[in-house]
Amino acid sequence: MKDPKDFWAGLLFLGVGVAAVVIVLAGGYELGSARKMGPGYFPAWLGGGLAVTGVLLAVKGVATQGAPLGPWALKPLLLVTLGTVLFAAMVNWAGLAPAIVTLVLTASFASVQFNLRWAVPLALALAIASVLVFVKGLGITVPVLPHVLGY
Amino acid sequence: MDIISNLMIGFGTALSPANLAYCFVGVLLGTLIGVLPGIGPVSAIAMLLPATYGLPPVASLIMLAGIYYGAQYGGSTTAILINLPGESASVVTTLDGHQMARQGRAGVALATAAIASFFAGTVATLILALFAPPLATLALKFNSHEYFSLMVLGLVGSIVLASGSLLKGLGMVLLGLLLGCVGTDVETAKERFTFGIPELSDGFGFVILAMGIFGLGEVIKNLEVQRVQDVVAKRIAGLLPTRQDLRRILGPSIRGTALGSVLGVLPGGGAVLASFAAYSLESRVSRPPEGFGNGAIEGVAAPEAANNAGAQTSFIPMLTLGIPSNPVMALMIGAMLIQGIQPGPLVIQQQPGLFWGIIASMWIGNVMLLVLNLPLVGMWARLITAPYHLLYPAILVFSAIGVLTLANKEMDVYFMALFGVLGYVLIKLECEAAPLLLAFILGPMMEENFRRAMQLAQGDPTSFLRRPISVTLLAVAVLGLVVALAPAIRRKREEAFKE
Repeated sequence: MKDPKDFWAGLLFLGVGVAAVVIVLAGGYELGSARKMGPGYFPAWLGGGLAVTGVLLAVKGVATQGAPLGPWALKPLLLVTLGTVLFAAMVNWAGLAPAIVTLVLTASFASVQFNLRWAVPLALALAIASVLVFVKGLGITVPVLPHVLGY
Repeated sequence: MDIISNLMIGFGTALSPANLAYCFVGVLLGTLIGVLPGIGPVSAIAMLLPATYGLPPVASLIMLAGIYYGAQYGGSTTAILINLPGESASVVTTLDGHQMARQGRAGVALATAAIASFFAGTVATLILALFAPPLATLALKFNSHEYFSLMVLGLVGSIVLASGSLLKGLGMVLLGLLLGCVGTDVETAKERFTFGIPELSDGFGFVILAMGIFGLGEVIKNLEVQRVQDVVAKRIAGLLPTRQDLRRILGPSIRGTALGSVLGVLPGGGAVLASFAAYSLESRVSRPPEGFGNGAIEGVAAPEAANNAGAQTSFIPMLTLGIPSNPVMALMIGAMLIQGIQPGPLVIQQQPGLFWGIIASMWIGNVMLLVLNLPLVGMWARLITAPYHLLYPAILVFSAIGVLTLANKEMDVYFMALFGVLGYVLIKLECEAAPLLLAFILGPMMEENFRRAMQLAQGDPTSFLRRPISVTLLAVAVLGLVVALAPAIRRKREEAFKE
C-alpha cells in the first residue's frame, strides 16, 4: 500500500456501498422498474456505484505513491465525542447547566494545556451564559437543573 | 426601469429600523465568529440558526446573510494578522497579506481587503439584481427532467471544483446521496435505513450533519497539532492606503470581481475556488515591484474581491432555483423552510419584498462591514489572540445546544457526535466534505425528480437527452468532467490547489 489515504477511503466507500446494497436486498426494499421505481431502486444504484468507486480508489491507493496518513489525534477524538455524548445523555434529566459543565470539563481534558484552574471557571461561565441566553433569553424549554431540586 | 423600482422595494424593506438592526447584528456576529480561529461560516450560521427562529422571515434571512459575509470578512482579518485563515476562502490571503503585516503594513492590508471586498460586493449585488429575475423566469419552465439534469450538473461541478482527487469527490457525492436516502420514502412510505430508530423516520437533519462534520470534526483536527500562533498585533498604524496603493488595487479588484462573480454561481465551494483562481490569474497578469508572496498588495486585493463576489453571487442559484451551490446556501434554504418559505423560482413573484430586501441588505451589509471594520480592527486583533483551549469548549457547547434546540431531541446530539467522528476520519483521509453535504441536500430532491421524470417518460432514460434545456445542462456536466480529466488541465488543477 503506497497511498494509505486513497486506500482507506476506498475501503470506507466499499464498505458503506456494500452495506447499503445488502440492507436494500435483505430489508425487502422493493426495487421496482425504471418506469415505476420502488423505494430500493435509487439506494441500490447508489450503493453499487459507491462500492465500485471504493474499489477503484483502493486499487489506486495500492498502485500509486502518496503521503502517509500521519498520527491520529485519539485523545481529542475520544474526549470530544465522549463529552458530546454525555451532554446528550444528561441534558433532559440532569438539566442544561450540569450537562454543559460535564461537556466542557471532559473536552478541556483533550488540551495539552489542561488545568482545572481555567477549565472550571470556563465551564461555569459557559453554563451560566448559556442558561441566560438560551433559556431566559430565547425561551428554550430545557430543564436547567435536576428535577429533584424542583427547578 | 424595472430593476430600479425593484431595488426601491428592496431598500424600502431593508432600511426599516428593525431590519437595519438585524443586518448590523448579523454582520457584527459574523465578523466576530469569523475572526475566532477554527470556526468557518458554515458552523457560524449553523450555531446561530436557532437564534433566528423567532424572527420574521425577512429579518432572519437578512441576519443570516450578514453572518455569512461578515464571517467571510473576519476570516481575512485572521489571515492577515496571524497567518491563519479563519476559513478556507481566505487561505490565499495569507500569502501576501501576512507578509504585508510583517512589514508593518497590516493596516493597509486590512484596508485593502475591506475596500476590495466592498467594491466586489457592490458589483456582485448589481449582478444579482440583474440576472436573478430572468433566471427565475427561465426556471419556471423547468420540469422534473430539467431539475434532475441541473442537480447532476451541480454535483459534477462540486466534484470538479473540490480539491483532491476526482474519484474521492465522486465517492463523497454518492455517500452524501445515500445519507440523504435515510428516512421515510416519500412515495411508498417505506422506511429506509432507519434501523427502527423513530428519530430517523424524517432522516438526518442537515444542521446535525453540518455541525458534526464541519464543527466537531474541525475541532478534533485542530487539537491534533496544538500550534504556536504568530501574532502581529503590536500597533496597527497607517490604516489608510496611499493614492498609489489605491491605483495598484483597482485592476486586481476588477479582475477578481469578474472571476469571482462567475465562479460563485457554479456549484461547489464557489468562494474558495474564486479566491485561488483570482490569485493565480493575478500572479500572471500583474508585475508588482516586490513580487508575489513578499507582500504584494495585488495579492490581497484580487482574492479578497473574488471571494466576496463569489459569496454574493452564490445566492443566485439559491434564490432563483431553490438549489444550493454550497453548504452555506444549503443552510439558508433550511432557514427558509423553517420560516415556511419554499425556495424556488416563485419566491421572486410571491415575496418581492423578501427577495429584493435580501439583495438590498447585502449592499447595506457591505457598507456596514466597511464602516465597522476599519475602526474596529484593533479590537479584532486582540480577539484573535484568544487561546484555542478556551475557545473550543465554547464551540462544542454552542454546537450541542444548537442541535438540541432544533427539535429538542437528545438523539440529534448523539448523531452529531457520530458525524463528528466521521468528519475527522474524512479529514484524515483528505476527503473534502463539501460535495458530501451538497449531495445530502440535493439527494431527496434528485430522487423525487428522477422518479417522476422516468415515470412520465415511461421508463425511457433517453428522454433526458430529448429535452433541449435538460440536454444542455447534461452536456455542460460532461464537458466539465472531460475538462477535469484532460491530462494537461488536470496537472494545472493540482497545481492550483497546491499553491
